[in-house]
Amino acid sequence: MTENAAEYDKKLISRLKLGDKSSFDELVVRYGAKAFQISFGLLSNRFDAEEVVQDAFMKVYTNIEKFRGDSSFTTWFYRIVTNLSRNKYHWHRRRGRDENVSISDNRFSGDGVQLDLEIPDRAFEPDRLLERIEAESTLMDAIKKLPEKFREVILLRHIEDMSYREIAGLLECELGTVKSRIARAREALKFKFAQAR
Amino acid sequence: MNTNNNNNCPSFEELSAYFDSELDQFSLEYAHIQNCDKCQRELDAYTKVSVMLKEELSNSVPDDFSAHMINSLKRRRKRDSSVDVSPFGFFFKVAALLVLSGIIVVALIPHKSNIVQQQVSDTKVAPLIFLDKLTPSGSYTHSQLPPSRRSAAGASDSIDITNMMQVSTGQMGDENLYTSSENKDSVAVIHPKVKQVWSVDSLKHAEMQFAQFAEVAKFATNNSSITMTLKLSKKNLAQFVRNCKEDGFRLLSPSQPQPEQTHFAGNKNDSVLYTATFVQSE
Repeated sequence: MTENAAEYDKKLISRLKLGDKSSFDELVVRYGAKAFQISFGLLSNRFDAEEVVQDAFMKVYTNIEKFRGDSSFTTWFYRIVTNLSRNKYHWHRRRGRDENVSISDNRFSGDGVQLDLEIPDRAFEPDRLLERIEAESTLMDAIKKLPEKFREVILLRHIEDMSYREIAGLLECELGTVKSRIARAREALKFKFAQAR
Repeated sequence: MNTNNNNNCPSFEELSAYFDSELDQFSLEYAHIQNCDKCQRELDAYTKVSVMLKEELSNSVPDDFSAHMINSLKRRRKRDSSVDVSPFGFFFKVAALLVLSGIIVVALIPHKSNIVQQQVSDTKVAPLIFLDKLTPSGSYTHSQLPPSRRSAAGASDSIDITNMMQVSTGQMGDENLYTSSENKDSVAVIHPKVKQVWSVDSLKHAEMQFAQFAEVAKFATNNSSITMTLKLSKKNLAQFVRNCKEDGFRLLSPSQPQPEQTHFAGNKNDSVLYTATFVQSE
């Protein structure tokens, strides 16, 4: 995030606090697509991702007065997006959407390349068809199989070009943890990408 | 490119950090990576993954996503009419409207002989405020207020703000026309000009709190105090006072807006020119 972009965000926030709804729309234009990409990357489901983005913006709208600007708007906003995506992901897990998928960290080997998760085959279920199409991409498939914590960091890094420090602040974890997770996620994706070629 | 390729290649974590420009430029690993073919090939692979990832996710976004999202959010806000910018946001909205559009507040008056027209200065478009100078000082319930005062306040009844906020105001202004009561059942009479003095533990903290008012308020700051002047509605003045209390600020002028009161007379949207001075507590 450039300094100019951050400054412009501040202006939009000030205007929104004054009740200028057009500035809210502008925030949607500026960050909606990237938020969608992050959420879609985390959930692998277009409809869920869209719902998350909508919920996230509603939270921004209703809580804008609580935003003091101690962190950048993007850090605050993407934290909301990430948390909502996490909630939705775990909500679906609890209710069995992906009951056959174990995505625990134990499945992810130390070298970051052995991802042996099994995705249930529901290709012929109509409501799963779109998801399947979306998951056909090798890379997306690989992302989907990454442990949740790895997915978060690699998406924030690549989609929003966040620094390690920003990601650590957003996810409230150590800098070293971010560094390690990004590296492992990247190795896994590289491995998968090479396999597909 | 140097063809250096040895077993001293850094770990994939270091390589990944290098790829993200997060590796110390003066480290040995950094120097190695720049001159190692093997590492460079790894970096090429990272680049491909990065490009692919961005491309895939970028393509996943529908073309009309922003417009669709804006419309969806508008519908949702409309559907859930209770969702609006928080009361403090409403404060900003009202304050900004008052400042920017210069809404003129004119109260109806039955007897012109009993009023004095006072122009509130210090705003770009000064509103006209009518004050009843003949009403003696004291505490009043709304029904006890002189009719002219009730009328001048612009409302036929008091406003119960019990559920809206915890405070009400009864500022006397320079003339000390009224004093508010600490009795919760009494009605505060809010003067169109309110001055308050607050004690704060940290001026820096207060300054941060008020940074968000930059566009609607005027500030005068020195080493020992911050004075803020802005225009806002009665309702939002009460909200502001409550927020100050919640932030731990202590009111040093007890005859002025009273957090204990839950009623105030007049129209909640009536404009008030509010001056608050925040002084460092000892």
